[in-house]
Amino acid sequence: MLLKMTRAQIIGSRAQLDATIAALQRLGVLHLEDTPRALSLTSLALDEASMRVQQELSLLAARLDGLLQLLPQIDQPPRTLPAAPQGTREFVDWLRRQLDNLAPPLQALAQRRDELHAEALSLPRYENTLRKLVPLSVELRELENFDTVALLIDTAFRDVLEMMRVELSLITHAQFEIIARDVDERTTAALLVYPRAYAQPVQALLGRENISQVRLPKELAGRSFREALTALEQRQHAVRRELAQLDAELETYARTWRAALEAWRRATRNLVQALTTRAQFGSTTYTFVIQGWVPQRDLNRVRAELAREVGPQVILTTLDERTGARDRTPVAFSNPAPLQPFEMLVRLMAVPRYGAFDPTPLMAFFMPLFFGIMLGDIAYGVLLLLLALYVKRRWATNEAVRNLAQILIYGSLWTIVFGFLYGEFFGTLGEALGLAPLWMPRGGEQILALFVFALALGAVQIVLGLLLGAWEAWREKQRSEFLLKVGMLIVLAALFGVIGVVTEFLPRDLFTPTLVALLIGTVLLIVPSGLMGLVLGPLEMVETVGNILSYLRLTAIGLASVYLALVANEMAGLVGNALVGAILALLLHTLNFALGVLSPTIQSLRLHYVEFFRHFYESGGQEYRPFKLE
Amino acid sequence: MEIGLIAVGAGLAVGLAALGTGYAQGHIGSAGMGAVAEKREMFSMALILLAIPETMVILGFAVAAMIIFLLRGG
Repeated sequence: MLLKMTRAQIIGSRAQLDATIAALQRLGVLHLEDTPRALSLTSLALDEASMRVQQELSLLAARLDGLLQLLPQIDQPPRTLPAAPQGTREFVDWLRRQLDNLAPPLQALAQRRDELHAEALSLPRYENTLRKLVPLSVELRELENFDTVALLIDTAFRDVLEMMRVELSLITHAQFEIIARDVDERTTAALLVYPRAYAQPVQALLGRENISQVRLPKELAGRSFREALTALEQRQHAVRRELAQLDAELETYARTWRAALEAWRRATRNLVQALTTRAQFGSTTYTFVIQGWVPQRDLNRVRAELAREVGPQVILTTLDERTGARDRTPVAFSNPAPLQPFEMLVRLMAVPRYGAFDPTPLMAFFMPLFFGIMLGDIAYGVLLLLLALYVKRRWATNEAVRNLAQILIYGSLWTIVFGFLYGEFFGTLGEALGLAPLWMPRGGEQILALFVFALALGAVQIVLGLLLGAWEAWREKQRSEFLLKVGMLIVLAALFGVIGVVTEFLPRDLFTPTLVALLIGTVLLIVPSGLMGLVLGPLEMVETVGNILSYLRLTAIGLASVYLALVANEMAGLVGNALVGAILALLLHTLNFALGVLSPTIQSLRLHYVEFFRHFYESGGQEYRPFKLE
Repeated sequence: MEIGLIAVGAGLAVGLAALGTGYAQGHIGSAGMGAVAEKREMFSMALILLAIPETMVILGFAVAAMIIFLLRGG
C-alpha cells in the first residue's frame, strides 16, 4: 500500500532556523515543497557570508569527489575517524587544510600512475614494430653520416617502393639503399639508407607521397633495432614494477584515508543541502515558514522531536489538502519486507498516483507464480535458488541486485513446485529417472490443456484488474470510467458463458441469458463515449480479449524451454562418447537455463505492465524524497 | 499427404507470425537502442517494449499447436 501523507507547516523564530533545519535533516521524513509566496512572506535568501560558505562547501565536495576517484575501492571495517570541528565555518577551514595537505602527494602519485599507464599502453606498439624491423638487421651506428628511415608498408602497396627507388636515385644521385622484406602477410618492412646531406629532399619526398615513417621514442633513437628492442623490453618490465609499487602506495592511502574522505564528503554534501533548501522556505522579519509533506504515521514523532531538540516555540501544524494537491503529494510505498523487492518493479513502470491502488502485493504473488509456471523444472529451480542466494549475499549492499535476487528466489520456489507438478528434472531427464508428474507432463497432447490453464489464469488476472479499475473509478466518482469497467466485466462474463455453453460445460438454457448479458455489456461499453463509443467500445472488447489470449505465453515460453531441454538430453544420448555427450548436454542445459531465467522474467513483467496494469493502474505521482542526511 | 499438409500449415502459422514479430522487434529494437544510447535508464523500458510484439508469434504458436493436435486428432 501507499503511505498516507499529511501536509505540514513549521513556523518558528529566525533564531531557531539552523537548529530546526538540522533537526529536520536528522529526522529525514519531511518532503519539502516551496512555501507559497504570501503577501507577508519573502524568500529566505542566503546572506553573503552563508553564500560564500555554500560555494566553498561545494568546491570542497568536488575536491573530495576528485580525490576519492583517485583511490581504489577497498573493503575495510568501519573505524574511528579524526574528529572534525562542529561549526560550519570552522569545518570548512579545517577541511580545506586537511585537503591541502593530503591532495598534492596523492595527485602526484595518481599523475605518475597515469603517465606510466599511458607508457605501458604505447610500449607494446613500438615493440611490435621493432620486431618486424629486426630481421632487416642493420646496425645503425656503423652508418655514420648516413640517415636511416624505417618504413612499414601495407603489402598491397608494395609498388610504392619501386617508385621511391626511381625518385631517390634522382635525389641522391644513386647513393642510397632500400632493403625490403615481407614480415607478415600484410606488412612489408623497408629500411631506407641515404647520405645525411640529402635528408631534407628525402623527407620532403616521403611527406609528399604520404609515406609514414616508424618513429621511436626519444630514448631509443640512435640505437640499433636490436638494442632498442632489448631496451624496450627492459623498460616494459620497469614500468610494470613501478606501476605495481604505485598501486600498492595508493592502496595504503586508501586504507588510511578513504573512510575519512567519504565521511567528510557526506558531511559536506549534507551542509550544502541544508543551505540550498533555505531557498524553499518563506520568512518574515522575525520568523520562518517551512512547508512539506510528512507520512501521517511520523507526524507526532516529528512534532515531539522538534519540541525536544529546538524548543516549544517551533510549531508544526497540519494543512488541509487543497484542490489539486493530490497531484503534488509525494508517493511512498509501505509494504511488508517480503514484498518490498517488488516495489522496484512497480516503480520501473511508473510511480503510482497518490491515493491510487498499490499493485505491489498482487505483483508479488502473480509474478513469481507466472515465472514458475513458465520455467517449471526441479533442477533448474534448485540451481536458480542457489544462484540467487549467492548473488543476494555477494551483492548485499546493492539494493537493486539484492531485490532482483530476492524476486528470483520466490520465482525459483514456484519453479520447483511446478517442476514436481510437470514431473520435470532437467526437462525429460526426470521421466527417465522415474519421476512422475503430480499433475500433467508438458508436451504432446497436453499442450491444449495447458493452453486452457494459461487462458484461465489470464482471465482471472484481467477480471481482477477490471474489478480494481471499477473500484478505483467508483472511489474517484468517475462515472463513465466505472460504466466502461462494469460493461467490460459483463461482456467477459457473457463470453465465458457462451464458451461454457458451446463446450457443453454449462446447460444450453443459459445461452439466451448470456447473449442478453453480452448485449447489455456492449451497450455499457458504447454509451459513456457517445458516438465514438461505436468504435471505441468494440475496440476495447477486442483488446481485452487479446489481453487474455496473451497469457498463452505462459505455456508457449515453457514449452520452448522443455523442448530445448529435450534436445539437450537427446543429443547427449546420440553422441557415442559419454564424456562428449555430457559436455554437450551441459552446454545446452546452461543455454536453456540462461534463456529460462531471462525470458520468463521479461514475459511475466510484460504481462503485468501491458495486460494487467492497463485496467486499473494510475500513474503520475511524484516520488517521496525526504530532506535527510546522506 | 494429409499429415504433410497439416505440418506445412502449422509451420506457416508459426513462421509467418515469427516474421511479423521479427519485423516489429527489429524496428522497436533499433529505436530502443537509440533511446538507451541517449538515456541509460531507458534500458528496462526498451527491453519491455521489445517483448510486446512477441504476442503475435505466441498466438501463431498456439494456432500451430491447435492445427497439429485438433486436425490430426480429427
